[in-house]
Amino acid sequence: MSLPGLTPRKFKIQAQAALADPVLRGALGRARSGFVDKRARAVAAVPEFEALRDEARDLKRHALARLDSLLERYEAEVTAAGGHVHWAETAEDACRLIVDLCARAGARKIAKGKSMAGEEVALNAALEGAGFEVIETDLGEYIIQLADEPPSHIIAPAVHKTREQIAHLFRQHHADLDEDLTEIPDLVNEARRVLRQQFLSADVGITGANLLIADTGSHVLVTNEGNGDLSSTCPRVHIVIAGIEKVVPDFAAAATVLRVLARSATGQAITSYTSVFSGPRRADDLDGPEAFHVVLLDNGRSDMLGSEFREMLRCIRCGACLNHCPVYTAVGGHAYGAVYPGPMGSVLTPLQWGLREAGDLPNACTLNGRCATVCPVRIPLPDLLRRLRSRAHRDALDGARNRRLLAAWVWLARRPGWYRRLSGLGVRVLRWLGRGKGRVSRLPLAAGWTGGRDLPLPEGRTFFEQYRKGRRA
Amino acid sequence: MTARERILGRIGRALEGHTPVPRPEHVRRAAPAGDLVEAFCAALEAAGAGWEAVARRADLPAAVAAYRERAGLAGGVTVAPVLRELDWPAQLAVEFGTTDGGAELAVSEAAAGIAETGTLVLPSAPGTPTLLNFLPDHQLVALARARVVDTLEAGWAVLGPAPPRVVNFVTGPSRTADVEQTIQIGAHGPRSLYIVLID
Repeated sequence: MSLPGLTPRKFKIQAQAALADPVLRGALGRARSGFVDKRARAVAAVPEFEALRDEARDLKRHALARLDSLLERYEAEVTAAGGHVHWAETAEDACRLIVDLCARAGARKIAKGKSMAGEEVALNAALEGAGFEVIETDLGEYIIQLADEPPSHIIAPAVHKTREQIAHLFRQHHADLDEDLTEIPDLVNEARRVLRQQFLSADVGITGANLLIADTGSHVLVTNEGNGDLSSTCPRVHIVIAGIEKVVPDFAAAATVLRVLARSATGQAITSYTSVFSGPRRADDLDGPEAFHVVLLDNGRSDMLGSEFREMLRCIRCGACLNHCPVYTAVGGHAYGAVYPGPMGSVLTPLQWGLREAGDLPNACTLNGRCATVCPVRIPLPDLLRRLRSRAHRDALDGARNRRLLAAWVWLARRPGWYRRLSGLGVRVLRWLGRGKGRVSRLPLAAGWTGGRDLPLPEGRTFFEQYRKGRRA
Repeated sequence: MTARERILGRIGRALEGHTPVPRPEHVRRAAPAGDLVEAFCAALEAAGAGWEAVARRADLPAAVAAYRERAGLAGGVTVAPVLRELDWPAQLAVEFGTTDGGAELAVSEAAAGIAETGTLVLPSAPGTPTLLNFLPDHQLVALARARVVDTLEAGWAVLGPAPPRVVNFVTGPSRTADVEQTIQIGAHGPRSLYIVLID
């Protein structure tokens, strides 16, 4: 989707702006430690956690290797339960299908549960363009809807907002609120009061799905607020949008994924609400939607399946790679200019938008590998990012200056004598530049490196100099 | 060709020539140490829920009345139809059925409790409407002690082969951390969850 003003093409400018924003950096700093500590505690409490990660990885591999038959089974079971399955090849197809479903339902107001697939296809813009009133009901999504901003984190969309900013938004948008609320409980209660009326008066509810279960035609929705369940139960029509990669064979497989998902995402053993839905309201039920639709979204996923990036389809959207990424936690989600930020987004966005648009993202990574160490389905994110860098180099998309520098380095690296002499000189120059301070805060020709941070001084001499000295001693 | 055929065709071609990947062995979570019901109660307390035990199913209405008095509630009480046959005191002015938000307190019954996580298994059915689990401020749930199982898989298995419209796995009250990552109880669902264990 296109975000107002933000684009992956301008990653460098957006990242610079984020680094210069003290309010944003405060909000991100608070979130980072919270997420990392909560996950660490939850993982430490489960002795078999690493075995669960292995199983989750292998279950997703198993499911992806028979994706066609699982999707066919899922479709047959949804139909048998009285629901309808629709297939969307592109983001535009998904939006058109859902707009049509809402129009045929005679809908006016739509309550939405948080859905990253919905964000991916820019569903709200399509629905609003068709004249529907759309209300996000997840508190974080509601906040950014009021602010007219995209989410900055895949599980905590408003992680970049402070309570003062949220209070101001509520006062601006809630006609009957005439003061800025200052306490967090008051803010949550205010959102509860306003959104309660929306659940009860919406004609259609739209949610995402964390998993699809083939053998019962079910989908699993994981929330803590309960908004997903209210959006799925109060309105008379329920529409689900889900990527085709979400399907697993049965509930036992879903259980393993759920165990690693909640712990990796919020550090919970399980979320407050983990619900398994199968079709519309049954004949004698007292509540639930009369009609149930699922839109299965491809949007590049089937191409990824046959490529060297298949492993990315294992992603269960927990957000752990974002929370542990030194780049994401410094610049936040908006800098990436696309709905999926951080390490997982730096793989997905170039695959969906092309490297010409999003070529900076795979380079916005130090290859420190923390993302891969915490990924619950063991996606080798640094390897995938490196593959994208190679692809950009192969297709000559990495910029003339980069290519000249790289060619010069290759020339030098093949001439050990020159390489040693020049690197030895480099170390001395750096030590001279940083004399008395212990670090270099301005480096000629490399302001891009020292603009946002200091460069630590090299320790002693080069490896070769020390090695030779050691041999003589 | 339809979108369905094109998508499935692309998937088929992507998988062509690849060897199938066998299903991994299922990692069983270690069963909670000691008594299952004790483990269940400890886990649900950790998730922010409360509980008490009563001797018989017939004791449920008195437990509900006592909870309501302790919490200082004066609003409507809606009880799941599956509990209709119990002797509900007139002063509770109980309604049976689902709720459109009018109930302050709802009483329902769980199909199972999961010791692994302190989770209630709440399937939708004419006798146990779903909105009782989400709209009221106070959610009271009856659970027979014999229905406490060890794992999530066991909690699903009690439902049989054909699942109902929805199964809510509920662990503690509604919560959010969307304002400054600070956990706040009572987002859109119940502010309080209380379990009455029946011997």
